[in-house]
Amino acid sequence: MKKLKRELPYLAFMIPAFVVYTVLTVFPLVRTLFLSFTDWSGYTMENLNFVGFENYAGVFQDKALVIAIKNTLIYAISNPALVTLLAIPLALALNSNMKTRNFQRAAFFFPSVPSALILGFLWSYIMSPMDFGVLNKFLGTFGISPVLWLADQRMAMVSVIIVSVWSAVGWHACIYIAQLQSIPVDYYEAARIDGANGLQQFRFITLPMLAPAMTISVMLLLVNAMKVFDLPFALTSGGPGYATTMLSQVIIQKSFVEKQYGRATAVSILFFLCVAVISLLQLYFMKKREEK
Amino acid sequence: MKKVLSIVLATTLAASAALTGCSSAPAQSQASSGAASEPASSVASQPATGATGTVTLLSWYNQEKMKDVKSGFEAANPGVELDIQYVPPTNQYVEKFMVLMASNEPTDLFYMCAENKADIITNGFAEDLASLPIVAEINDMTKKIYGSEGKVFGLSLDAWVGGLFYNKTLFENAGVTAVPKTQEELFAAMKKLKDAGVEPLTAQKEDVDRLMFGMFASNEVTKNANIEYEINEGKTTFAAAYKATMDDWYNNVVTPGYLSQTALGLSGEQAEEMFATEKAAMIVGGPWNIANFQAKNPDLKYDMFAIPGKDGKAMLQGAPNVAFSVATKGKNKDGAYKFLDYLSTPEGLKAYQAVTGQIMLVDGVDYQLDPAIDQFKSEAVAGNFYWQPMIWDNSAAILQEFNITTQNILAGVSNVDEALASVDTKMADLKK
Repeated sequence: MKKLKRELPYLAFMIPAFVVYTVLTVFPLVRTLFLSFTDWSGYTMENLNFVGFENYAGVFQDKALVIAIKNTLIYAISNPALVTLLAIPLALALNSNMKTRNFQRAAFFFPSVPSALILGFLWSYIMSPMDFGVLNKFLGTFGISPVLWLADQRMAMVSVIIVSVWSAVGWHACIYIAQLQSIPVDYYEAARIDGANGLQQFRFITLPMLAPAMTISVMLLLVNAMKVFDLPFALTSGGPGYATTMLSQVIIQKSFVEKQYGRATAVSILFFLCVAVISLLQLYFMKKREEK
Repeated sequence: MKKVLSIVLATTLAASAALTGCSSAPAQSQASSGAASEPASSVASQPATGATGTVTLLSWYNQEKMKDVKSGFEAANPGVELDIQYVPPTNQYVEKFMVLMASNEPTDLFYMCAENKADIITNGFAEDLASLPIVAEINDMTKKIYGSEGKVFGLSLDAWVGGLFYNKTLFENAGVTAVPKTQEELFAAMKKLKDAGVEPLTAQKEDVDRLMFGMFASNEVTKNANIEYEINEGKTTFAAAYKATMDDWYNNVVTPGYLSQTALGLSGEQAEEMFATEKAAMIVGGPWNIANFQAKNPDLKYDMFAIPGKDGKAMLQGAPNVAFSVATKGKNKDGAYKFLDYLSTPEGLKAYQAVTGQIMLVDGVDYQLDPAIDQFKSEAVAGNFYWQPMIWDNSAAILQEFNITTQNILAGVSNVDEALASVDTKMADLKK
């Protein structure tokens, strides 16, 4: 009883957040699961008919969905990989004793501040395929002919990845900087005494000690990459064709454009399960690596 | 302790169920299982009686644009306030509309557009306005588009018309001395422009199919005005109906590079800028482009012509503007009808024309239009315009599919047959 009295204030503080989470996340999820087995029209909950797995049956026959799954996988693998590969060296550089390090930290962090919609809009001008596009104008000074950044199917995906990596590297470098600052200096001193060079110090001290930060960073990158919508939509509207259409865009189109609410809710549930499984697996393997 | 925590959280979870999906009493759905052409029964329009209180309008013109309409209506109807709830078109508007209908909280008035028309008619969300005096003045084509089986569920007072804007200076410099009157003349003009080093045609990525749609209307709809209805009814397919036009478009516009792949990377603003800054000689558009052309280049010399067909017939691109509908479950139907009555007056029509800037479909309004659009006023009033998405079932989805497949053609990863097969597959899938 004494313990309960002591813990009650903390419980009381938790309850509002829990209520909001339940109302805005848990119940819509449960309702979506229920609706995925019905012929919901999108307008009214009356006259619902149970249709079993009919909405799930046609999912993988839908050409747009299959392409979107492929695009999402490409994006979800390349974005976290590239951001991690760039964020770690950047964190090392920004953690060094440069005079301008505070300014540089702010400069690299800044791209993560504006919303993805604004970034997409801005970069659509920078990457305009016409010769008045800023990027093509810059390339033109070196005699390189204009590149179809957003007008070519392959280049459009490359462009989306470039912009997303550029906007995320600074933010994730901050996670690594925080972890770097928690590594005891003694380890490096001992390594130097033992004759380890810079690369060896990085490989045997820095990288292993960055494991906890890497777990969090990669998990955030992976989950955000899998459910990405705003940046590709703002930059390319999912085109040309389906070249940069992601799964979240297909779900929205299936429901609000095609009015196939049953199919859209079924895809949402499958998507939720995939993201959950992949995230749990990623956490499990990276936690194991941390423990090593 | 863990047990207590679990009990408290579980109780909270159960209690918060009361907060989810809060709405009024469930709507008494009148949904039919038929297609959009089989409307649910709806109440015949009632004459407006003594209306007071607030009339709500879900508008896709903002409060600033509508201020004169609001002030005029309220001055003419003391005791009635018009509450304008603005949502930008089109997808956001349709989504908001759906949410309001699903939660049984419709506004008294809302707009019917191509994207929500079928749902409104099928679910019986709108009153039949056929008996309103002003409806008698509207052309039959417009009434058919916003109605079904003799009933009229949306009152559209104006229309947009569009075609090919062209740069007069670039045309002259390239030796194109006359406006193309046939498809062959149009292709010849494009060749001359290209040979003169000018981009013949530009478009935003969402509109790369606009020229093709215009060619179809001028070639096919002029011979068979019901062709899109026949596609809806399954009597023909997109592949059969559109093949000839799309082949023409592909062979004579895409293959020679008159519409280049760069269009796939252009936004609407960028395409307008290309035309306004004389980097491209033509763009398919409508009245919404004019202000941007003039803002970017006040000295631009331009005009517009209807996209011509093979035999010289030309159908303007165009459609009735979005239509006012009265909600069957609105709280203030009397007020809603009062608003439509006000809009029917010369003062109301003038104020509304100033909002939309488009051609009015009824008489009794004096207004100015850009000369490029004004030349087509009588055609618009007579209903001589065409825009396929106004007729298709599931128009937003089919238009999107056409757009994606024509982008694929322009990108060189698909051909005409594959594109049309894809659109037919989408239509069949949507009808399931």
